[in-house]
Amino acid sequence: MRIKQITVPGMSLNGETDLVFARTAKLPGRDIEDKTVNYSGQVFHVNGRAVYPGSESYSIEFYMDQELDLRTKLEKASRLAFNNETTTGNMCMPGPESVMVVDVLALPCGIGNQAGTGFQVVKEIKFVGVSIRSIGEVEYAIADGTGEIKTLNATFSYHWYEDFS
Amino acid sequence: MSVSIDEFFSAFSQDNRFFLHLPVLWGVTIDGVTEDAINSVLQDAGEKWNAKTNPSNYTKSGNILVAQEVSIPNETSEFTTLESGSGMGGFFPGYGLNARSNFLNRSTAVNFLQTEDDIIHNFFRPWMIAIGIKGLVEYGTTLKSTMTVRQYKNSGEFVRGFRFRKAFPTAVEPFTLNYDNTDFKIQSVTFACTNYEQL
Repeated sequence: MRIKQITVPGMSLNGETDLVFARTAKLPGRDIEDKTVNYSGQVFHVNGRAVYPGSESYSIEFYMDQELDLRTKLEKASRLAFNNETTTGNMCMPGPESVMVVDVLALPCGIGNQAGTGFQVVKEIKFVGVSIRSIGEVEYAIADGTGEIKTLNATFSYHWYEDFS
Repeated sequence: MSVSIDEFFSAFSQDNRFFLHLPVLWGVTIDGVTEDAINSVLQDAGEKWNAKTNPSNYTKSGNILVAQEVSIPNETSEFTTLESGSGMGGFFPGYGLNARSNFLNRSTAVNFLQTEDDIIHNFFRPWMIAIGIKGLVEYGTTLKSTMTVRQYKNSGEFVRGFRFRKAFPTAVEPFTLNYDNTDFKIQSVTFACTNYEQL
């Protein structure tokens, strides 16, 4: 799986540069809410509306680049959403131009596959109406000195996702 | 013969007379009152209020997009007992009908989201003030509207509706501004009408 594109007001991240730092993400979920009808002691289940659990806070973990370029871009998008210093912000509903595209990849490994064959995109999922929600804290452990690579967590909201592949 | 769950199951899963539809599939429109009609009354009275828009500017595909909730009124009448004085013993009194309940005593309301170009501020409040000046008399420009509520099946087809004739607002809900992290403002407008009909 890879994050291929994130476009929100004030920020555009693409898979060739910024999103190579994406470390973990997840396939989203989709629920049909359950509605019940009772009759003579029996409960019948009926389709309700569709909801996307976790759509208010879809989390991606990035490797921190040393120059903090990625974090700078996230900060800019966050302050464009609402800037407490100027009390101005972009309060309109995120539109169809604000998207995140996630590819699900597979490594061909059938008979005849040659070494070096690249991943194949088996599914493309597009999140619609994406907006930044949080930029995670980064804790430095100066004393430890283990050299562990730092990560940065960010969350995004979306209205729904499309999976028509 | 006892009740049959199979009959219920069969009916609700196969017979479209029993199909359920999501109650969130509805739309509302309000037509017939214009900014010009409201403003002519306001200007005659020297009011500083001014209608700057009308519901059709917020309407797409038969629905006012900023409408969040609509309350359909009940259908009720006022009854009385007819008693022939005292000494009726164990007999019940008769019953009589006084009148159908008027629409001022029923709850017909639409809740609207407060947007930057606010339909309450720029249409419903001026409309209410204009009615407060002109009253409900029928001469000249009309300040009464036609409000239509439609419900839809899950397939998107129309399933039922109500049309409220000569509807007019009777109250606009107040709202509070503060510095808390509150939800977006939603205000209710209560309506009365002369009659309503089935669609």
